[in-house]
Amino acid sequence: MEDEVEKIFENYLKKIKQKLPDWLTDDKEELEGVLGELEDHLRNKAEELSDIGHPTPQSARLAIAHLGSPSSIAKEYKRRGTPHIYITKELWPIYKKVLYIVFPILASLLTFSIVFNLFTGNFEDAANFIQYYTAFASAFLIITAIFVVLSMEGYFPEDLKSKTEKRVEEKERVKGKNMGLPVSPETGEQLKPFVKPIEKFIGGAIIMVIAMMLITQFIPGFFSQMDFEFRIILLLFGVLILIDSITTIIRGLLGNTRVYIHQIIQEINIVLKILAIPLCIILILNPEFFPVGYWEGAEFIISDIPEVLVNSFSITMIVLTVILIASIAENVYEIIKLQKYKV
Amino acid sequence: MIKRVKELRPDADIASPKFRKFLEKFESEINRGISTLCVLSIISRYEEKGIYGYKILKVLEEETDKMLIIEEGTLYPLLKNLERDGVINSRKQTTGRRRKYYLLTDDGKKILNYLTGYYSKLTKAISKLVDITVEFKNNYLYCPMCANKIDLSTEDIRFCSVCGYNLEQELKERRKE
Repeated sequence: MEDEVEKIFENYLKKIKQKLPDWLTDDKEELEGVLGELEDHLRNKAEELSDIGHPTPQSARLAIAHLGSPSSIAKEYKRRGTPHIYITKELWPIYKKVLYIVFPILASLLTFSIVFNLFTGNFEDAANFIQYYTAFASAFLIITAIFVVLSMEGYFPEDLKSKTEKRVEEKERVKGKNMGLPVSPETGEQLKPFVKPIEKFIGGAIIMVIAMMLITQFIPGFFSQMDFEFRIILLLFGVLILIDSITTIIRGLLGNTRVYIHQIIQEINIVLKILAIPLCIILILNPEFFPVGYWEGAEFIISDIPEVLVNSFSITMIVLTVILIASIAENVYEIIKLQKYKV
Repeated sequence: MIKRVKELRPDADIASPKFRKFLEKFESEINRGISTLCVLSIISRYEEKGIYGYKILKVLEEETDKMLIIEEGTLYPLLKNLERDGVINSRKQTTGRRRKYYLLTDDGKKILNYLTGYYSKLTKAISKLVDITVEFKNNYLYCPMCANKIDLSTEDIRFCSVCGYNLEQELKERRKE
């Protein structure tokens, strides 16, 4: 009889486990706790309903009937968060953040596609606005649908992070508190440091070395073999990258202080990126500027790009330009994010 | 509260699905907040060892004469949410059954004080409307600004810990009484 009771409980708990949301089942310890206390409840109830002082198959089934169906129990666990237009209030900030990131990237891609079509004479494609609206609407619908489902499943922002991410975040928050950083006015949570000085110093130094190489073009027998136009473009890129490296090092020196200067630097970065776009477009439209290098015996030869590689170079350049444009959105996001640190 | 519907007289008001549906919805809305308050209140009584889910239901049944009943399947998700919000914490029993004992956190104690105060003042405020009498016990003071319940016997107080309201005037009046 005891075996039968065990089997009844086991089957029931197994069914509950299958119905529980992923955010709960992913955390083994948490799941163990939930199933453990449900089991304890069932045993208590079955004992209470039994005539002989310990659970019988009949009292076990009755106890299960009292607790409810596995679906109804799982539904209660999913009922988390504050309802707010189909997406919970807890997930709403992340939903907005995703839209803020995806829409500028999409807008950049579409703008680039329009400009590219105009430059290459595909006026019909450039003027096809329906496809642009469709792209925006599809992105909006897909993102919204994902967040509605996450809300229905009872997800909270922290459930979308791994355990390691949570640990690192907690450490960062303690660090932020020790630095005297404010708490978020929206969530009431301690803000994390927004800059890691060492990362900025190392990153800035590496970028500066690359910039100096492009500006001075000092490697003997390398730059001198390239076309004059290409070298001018490299020089201009070098100047932009040098300014970027200087601003990066300044951010490292400032550390987590003087938020407004960090915001100004982000604005300077946007200007630098905008200035780099025409240079990219020149390279896309003139792939013949690109040199190719190869070894011939002991000698390194740099020559004009072979016809067969022209398309690959153009496509690579297009992808790089799109990434550059999309990264402007990141700067805008940083500027908005830094606003929270102004006390 | 509305139970054993099949046993009710067929011509009773409650037999009408529309009438019953409205009452059930209303009861459920009222009970939702009160259930949380009562669960926290029961947990607060077991300050040292804590209390497990099944026992909470039993105490609730006894103390409210089975008037307020939390469905068994909804208690554990409720406890989980309270734990996630930092109002309660839990510790697992290390031997025997896989049982979880719940305790109020320090924040939870403050929240319970406030909720009890708010609920008490609200009940008193509507007492005339629903024609009942509500009397407060003398060993508590309810903050006039935010309704926080302040225990006069244990706390050395001047200001309300929740809203910072200066309570000197209220304390003077209480001393005169």
